[in-house]
Amino acid sequence: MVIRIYPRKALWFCTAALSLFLMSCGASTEFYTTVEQDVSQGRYDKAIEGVRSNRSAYGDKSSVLFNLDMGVLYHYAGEPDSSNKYLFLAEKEIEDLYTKSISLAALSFVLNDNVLPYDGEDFERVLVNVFLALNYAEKNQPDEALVEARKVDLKLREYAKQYEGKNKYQEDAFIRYIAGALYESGDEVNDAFISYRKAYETYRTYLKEYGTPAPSFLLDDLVRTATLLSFTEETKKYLALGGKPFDRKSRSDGSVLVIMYAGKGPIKEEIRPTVSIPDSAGILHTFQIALPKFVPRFRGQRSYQVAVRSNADSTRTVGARTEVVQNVTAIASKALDDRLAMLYLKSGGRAVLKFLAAEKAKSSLSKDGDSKAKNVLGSLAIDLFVGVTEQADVRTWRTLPAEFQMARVNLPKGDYRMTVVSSDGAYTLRDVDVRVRPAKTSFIIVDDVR
Amino acid sequence: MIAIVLIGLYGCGPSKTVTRVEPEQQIDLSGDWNDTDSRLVAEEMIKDVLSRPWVGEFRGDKKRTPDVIVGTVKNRSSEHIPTIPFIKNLEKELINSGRVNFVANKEERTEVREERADQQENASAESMKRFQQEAGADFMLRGDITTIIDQEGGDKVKYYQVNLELVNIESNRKVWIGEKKIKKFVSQSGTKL
Repeated sequence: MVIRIYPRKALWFCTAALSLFLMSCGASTEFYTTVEQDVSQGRYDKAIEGVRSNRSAYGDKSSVLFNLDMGVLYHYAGEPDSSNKYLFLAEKEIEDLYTKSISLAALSFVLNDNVLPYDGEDFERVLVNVFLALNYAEKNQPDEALVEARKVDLKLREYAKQYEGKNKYQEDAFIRYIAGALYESGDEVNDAFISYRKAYETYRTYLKEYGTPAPSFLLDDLVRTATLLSFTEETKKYLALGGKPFDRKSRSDGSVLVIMYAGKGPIKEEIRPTVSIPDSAGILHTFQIALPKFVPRFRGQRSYQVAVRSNADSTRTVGARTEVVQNVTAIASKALDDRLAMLYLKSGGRAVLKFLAAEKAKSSLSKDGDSKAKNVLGSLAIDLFVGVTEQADVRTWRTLPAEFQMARVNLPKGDYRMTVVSSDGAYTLRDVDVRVRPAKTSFIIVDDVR
Repeated sequence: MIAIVLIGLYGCGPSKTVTRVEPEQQIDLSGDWNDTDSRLVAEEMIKDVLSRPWVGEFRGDKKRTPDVIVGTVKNRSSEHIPTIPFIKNLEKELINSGRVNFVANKEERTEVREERADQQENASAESMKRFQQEAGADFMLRGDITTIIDQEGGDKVKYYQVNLELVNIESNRKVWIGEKKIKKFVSQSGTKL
């Protein structure tokens, strides 16, 4: 009796283990190497094709990532309509995934988080709206861009509630600044001033948490808008902080806002810390758990020199150096840290469950009284199952840039040619046509995601 | 094995159905601003503005029916509300009321109107004068839409507030201010099997 039951049990166990194991594996990411090479050389069409033709590698649990990758690649390629299409798909899917499957959640407690559909880290979800806003700004649809900026606010407020206000990323200074520029461009100087001021305050948190100070031109923007609104106290305050005085004669000047994507965004890698938990008898059991951790791929120290030359008078050139206004790597790492405490608990709990189940399976093996060889094999199989199924979820929006940098140049209306050169000399963008209109901002987006 | 096959077959079948409905029928799918909201708000607000004393006062003063033009309705909300259909609804209600002369705004697309208005250095006053000269309108109707969202988990309460004002172009004075609120409750389940 006993001899006949054992093989059937083992067969069932192996089949179940294999299928569950396959389900719990992360998606293959080898095609990314080629995609990233194409992106770093500006071959966006090739990169887009590379992602599209590898749709199956994302599987059915990471279709959000597919849409995020397509969305940002089209954004780099300067195709805002296609970019918006994919970003909206990602946003809708993330929203639908709020409805979580109980059975999948239960399975993730037994196996790992790779069985769950990926619905983005908080900062990734917010970046969807940031890129949507920039797409609309590029299409000269400032009202729609501002709708997206408002959505950023709504989302961050919602996430802060989930962390009971204890998380780091509660306001986005970059999108506040963009909103300020959009309002000012639409002649809503009061709203612009309020946004610029909020951005300035948020950069204080940014400096503390991510090492990103407010860009130097923000003080000038505050002085300018405060002067236009005749806010004398505010004007004095920001002048004292270092802003340039604003000459009302240049009221009809426009501006060029250059947004630069620099460097490759971070990726997640698995770390396997050991954790020791005492059982009810006081005996210490030590396990390995698997956790994700962000690893930077760009160490910074690269800036860009922007030169804008008048078509009417080629001797007239105005220059500006870009400044870091958003450190995606730093924000990502801190956001994951905030989530880690919860992950650690879940991972630790899962390890305990697996250990207990493994011990029980091993003890019922030896109870069957079979040959020692079969017992050892069975034991090894169980340990293997426990070991390989403990896998960190290292899925992430890999096609993001490491940093957003920005330069602002205020100029009289007219037609200009712009050139951008990186500080390491490896990137040059020559003679881009720019039209400056009175009291309006032209948004120019440049990518050097390398 | 047999159980699995049965489940598979059960899953097959038509996944799309089409039902013809009346254009006015209220159908709320996503919880976002839809054509019903646009229509209802336009009807109510135009009824409101046309029932006020300014019409009679103008007639008594100038001995003719006032000419009204619809300017911009700005989207200041956190949703991509299509403002052009809403403006068209407002225009339709004005025309069909018979109480005022509706003056068509030559710039059909809101973006074009804003673009033209912004070309001047001193936007509002100049564009107003221009509207009057070009269209010969006495009054302009304009406003904005804002939203307040209150969210807790999967439950969301959305307030839409439509603010409109009627401005006497010559005197730059507001003769009517109106406001209409719409409240929607959207619920998304947090769990499923």
